[in-house]
Amino acid sequence: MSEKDFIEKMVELMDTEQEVALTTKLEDIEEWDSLSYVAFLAMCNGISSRRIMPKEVKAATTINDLYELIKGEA
Amino acid sequence: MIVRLNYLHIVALTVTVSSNIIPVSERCAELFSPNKIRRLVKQTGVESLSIVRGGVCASDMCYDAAERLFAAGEAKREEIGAIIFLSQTPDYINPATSYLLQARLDLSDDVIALDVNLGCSGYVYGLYLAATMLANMPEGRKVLLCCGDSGSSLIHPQDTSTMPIMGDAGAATIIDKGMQSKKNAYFAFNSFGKLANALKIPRGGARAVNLTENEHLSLDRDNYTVMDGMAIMDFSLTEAPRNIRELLTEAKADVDEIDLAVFHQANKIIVRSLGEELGFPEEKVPWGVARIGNSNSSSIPACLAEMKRQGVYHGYGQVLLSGFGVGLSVASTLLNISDLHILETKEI
Repeated sequence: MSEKDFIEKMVELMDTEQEVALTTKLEDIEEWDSLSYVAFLAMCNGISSRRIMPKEVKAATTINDLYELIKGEA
Repeated sequence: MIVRLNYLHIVALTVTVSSNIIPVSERCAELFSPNKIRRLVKQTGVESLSIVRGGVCASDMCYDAAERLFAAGEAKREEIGAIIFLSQTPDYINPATSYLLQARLDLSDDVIALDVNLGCSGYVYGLYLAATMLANMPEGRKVLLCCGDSGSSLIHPQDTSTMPIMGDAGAATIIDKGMQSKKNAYFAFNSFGKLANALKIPRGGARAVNLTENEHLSLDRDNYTVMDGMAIMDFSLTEAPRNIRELLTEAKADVDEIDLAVFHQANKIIVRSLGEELGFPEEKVPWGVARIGNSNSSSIPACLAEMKRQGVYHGYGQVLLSGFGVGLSVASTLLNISDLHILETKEI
């Protein structure tokens, strides 16, 4: 998945009107909450052949950290 | 463990919910901002919740559902050889609520009555228990499976993880042996006691009594359902697919041959993810409880009864039913329901 596609997916998933880039800190996005977190895990589960563990997602601090988790996948 | 059964026929089922249907936006008004509620509803797929009024128990909804099955002629009272009440919210610590239901439903004393303590995997367990009991019962007997929870009263007022999704419902199902020529039913069970703390009501049993304040349940967190939402999510998306894949392999069944896959209606994200993960097209994976919420053990029959109410239930042959949750526990079954009668959801 390209960077652009990933950011688009994340904006849709979080349902945010905020400007989002790879460098954006997750703590600065109001909509990055447990709901988005669950939706992100579910999305990973759908597209990644490797299981993404909740603790890997919890450890992420930027959008790029999330991208790193799945960028090798579909 | 995989089990194959020759005799299992679900005759009829129905579900009763509370007439107190509260929009999530109202129930969670003090917990979340309007914007967050809008996002929650969109993602969880739960728009409103069936919430019992004070004093109404799971058994009351199951009673109503069972009476409607009798009234519709789905079984005669004297044919019932066993009544199972499966719930996490029994009327009392004892006696088992199945005995109270036996009396209320005017069943004969020539009957087996027992309670089972299970949650979201419970409906599949109930079907399995019913079938195994029927195997050795006299001909013509049927099992009445009452499955329900009124867990809304055990949600802490500040609990943001369960408040927006949990609703109350009670189901009744009639099961008999059916015809031997019908296709076998397959079951798959997995149990994970080491993960028990991920979903638990710490107080209220013999290990730790409830804490009270002025004769009411205190607001101590341990008096209420405590759920590690992230752990449950990860468990559901890992262990349910594994359990189901083993079931399908053992039954030599292909996803294409399954007409409908009814997953425990936890929330829409989980249901959709499981469907995708296992390769089911979206139209075969119903999300049916937008109006009533996740009702634990009765969520699978509630999904079917809500589909019936909405006029979108058409005949189905081979179906997959899969429940997962408290225990932690996963139970799935592949069976034929081509002549199942469903009575639509009613409210009390």
